[in-house]
Amino acid sequence: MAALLIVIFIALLVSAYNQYNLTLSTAGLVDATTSITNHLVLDNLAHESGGNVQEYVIDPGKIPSDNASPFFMQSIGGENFEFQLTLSYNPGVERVLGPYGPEPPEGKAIATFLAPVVVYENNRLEYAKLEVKVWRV
Amino acid sequence: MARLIRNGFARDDRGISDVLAMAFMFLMVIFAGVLLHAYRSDAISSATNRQLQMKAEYLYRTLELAQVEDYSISYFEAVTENLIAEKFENFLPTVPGENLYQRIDNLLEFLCPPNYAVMVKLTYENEEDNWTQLYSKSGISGLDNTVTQFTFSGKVTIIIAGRGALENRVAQVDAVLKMFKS
Repeated sequence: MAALLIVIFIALLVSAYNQYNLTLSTAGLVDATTSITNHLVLDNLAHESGGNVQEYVIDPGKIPSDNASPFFMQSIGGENFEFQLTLSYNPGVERVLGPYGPEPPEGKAIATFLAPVVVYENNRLEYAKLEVKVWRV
Repeated sequence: MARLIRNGFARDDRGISDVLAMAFMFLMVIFAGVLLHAYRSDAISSATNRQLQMKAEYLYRTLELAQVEDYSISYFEAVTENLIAEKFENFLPTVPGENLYQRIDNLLEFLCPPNYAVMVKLTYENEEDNWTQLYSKSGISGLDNTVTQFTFSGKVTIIIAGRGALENRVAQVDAVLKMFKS
């Protein structure tokens, strides 16, 4: 009976350890998605006007058209992540720009974040949705 | 005879104390298993909450920066103009209130996350002068204080150009955006 209890305990320990790793890995991926989106909106894709960076305003002209560009790869906390982004706006006749970046791999965990942003087009500031899909390389 | 019975009992059968000890050990293993599985299990929900807080901030900034369709002022500036229109003489808001309400509703419909409601409130000088707009796909009628809210607040300032001999006037309103599960 004691041996059975020890076996059950070891099985629980292994299962809990696997779950712990999975939880931390998923939380890390979610945080990486938040960080990458924030970086895109506040810096990499932010519209520039007269030498000033307009945070929260996306300039679609700054998105590289080459899907293999290193722009779509970021290193966070020693881990490498790749991402794909899509910009959609004008809800009346919805316009979708993208997807830009490499295709998400199959069989890997992918985190998606939809961020409300402002897009600069034709000298106007329109509301838009920025979808960012992130996965580990 | 009594000795034989006692020896036999000790060898082949277990007493109630043995059964209790094993039951206790079994319960301890179950308890340890639950504890081990619960350790850091809130990491994902914490990360998701951080994302939702960021989404509330982004939604606020969108209302602050995006221009109302067919106009060149932002949604928050348009609301501020409507709020102060009654206080300032000879001042007409650029976007009429009824049009603005519908346009903010369209914006929130497009940008509000599924299963969440958004409340936008702008207040000028006192609590009575406010613009409150609630958007929810599920059709809730008010703010639910029992659920976690993701809040972002700030101030909106507009300058009204003076006409003729009048000086420029400045108006500032408090704005708050709350996002919560509905």
